[in-house]
Amino acid sequence: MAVTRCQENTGFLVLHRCENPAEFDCVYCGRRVCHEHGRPVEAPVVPATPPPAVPDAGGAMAPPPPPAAAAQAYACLTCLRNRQQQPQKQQGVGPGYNDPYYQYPYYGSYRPYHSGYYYDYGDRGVFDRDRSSSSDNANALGS
Amino acid sequence: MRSAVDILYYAPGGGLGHATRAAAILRHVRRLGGQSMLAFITTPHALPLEHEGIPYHCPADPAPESLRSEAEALIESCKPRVLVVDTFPFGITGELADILPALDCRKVLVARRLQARWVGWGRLAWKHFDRVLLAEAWGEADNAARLCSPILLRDAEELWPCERAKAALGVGAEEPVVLGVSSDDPDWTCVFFNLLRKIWQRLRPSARLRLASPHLPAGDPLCMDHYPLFEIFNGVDLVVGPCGYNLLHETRACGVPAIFLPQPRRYDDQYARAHGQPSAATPEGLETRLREMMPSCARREAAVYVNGAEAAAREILDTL
Repeated sequence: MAVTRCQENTGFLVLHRCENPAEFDCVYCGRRVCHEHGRPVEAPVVPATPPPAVPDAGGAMAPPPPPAAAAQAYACLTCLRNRQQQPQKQQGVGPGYNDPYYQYPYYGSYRPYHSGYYYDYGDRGVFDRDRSSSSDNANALGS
Repeated sequence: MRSAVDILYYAPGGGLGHATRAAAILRHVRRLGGQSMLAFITTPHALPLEHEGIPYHCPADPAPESLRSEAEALIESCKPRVLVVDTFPFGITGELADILPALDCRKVLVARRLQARWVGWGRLAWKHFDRVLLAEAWGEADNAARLCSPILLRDAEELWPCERAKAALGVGAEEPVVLGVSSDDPDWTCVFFNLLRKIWQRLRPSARLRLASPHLPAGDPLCMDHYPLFEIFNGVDLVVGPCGYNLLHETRACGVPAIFLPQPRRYDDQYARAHGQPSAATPEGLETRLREMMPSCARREAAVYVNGAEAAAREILDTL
């Protein structure tokens, strides 16, 4: 049996293909992964179809074979990470709130009142004119 | 020697208030029979005088060094019977300091609040005037000065009734309106109006927002170009803007609630004027004030007040 390499990518600074031998099949994407990049999951594994009962020579039907022990399922880390993020996206947040339009501070009603982020430097310019050099810009003579 | 004008109203300064007071008083002078008048202004906001059809003169060069020679030449050519000086007794750069004592015409000062550091332009300078009219109260009372009611561009009965004003504002008769006002420079006005829009996006109040300024972007449905704006204050339910002379006294006269954002000026003291008034000093503070004071329904009371412009006009004419 040919030993295949793990198909997960790894590396902190430089991403590269994992060198470990593959041990499991990911139940979600089917990729072969090693023991470092596979985690046991409770995902349902579709059992192999039992062989059909065949009557014996006397015509009696043999009892069906006992079910095979449920094989432990594994999933790759990439699929686990992706599946963990999905519930957050589905938690009662309307599609409009994912729209960047609503996350731009100008329209940012998702932020709490008096958040320091809602008003920017320009907004504070309404109040933060320099008193010492104040003059009416419309006229150098002042007012 | 015959005078070219009876009344020369000398109103230098960069803000809208100087030209507005000149127009407010001179239109009442005209109503009372005075015909020969001229206003001298240095502000680019000449609209109050143009709108009232009052002749005015702007110096070709408002630089301080040339202002004195221009003022001197104008007074010499006009030979006014009454020189009315607005706000700055010796002129905004001291250009009248030498001219004033030598003038043999009547002299009236229309005094407005100034920062304390310009105290030399206060009582010390008032002795050069036949009459000093205080256009607003500040500091200690002084027997040499007469306190007028605020000088406003319109009398109470000239203001539009609420329904007509609401229509001019583009809202229904029952809809509350918050009006952002600025005659400040275009850059500041733009930032201020953007802040109001931002707060509206957040609060989403039922009150309608309207914006008014001489520097309006064309085609903005929120922007008002009605002039004089004061005329439609009976249709306004809350005003937000700097604390210049006009806005404070117009809102108080009309009984319109207001939130002031006092701005630094070289001479005017908007912070002192805003003292005791609802005001804001940060975006968050303005938002809080707006939430507290946001009108939920339209006002019903029409404004009732005494316009000090008529009394000031009478005082000026009395000196003739």
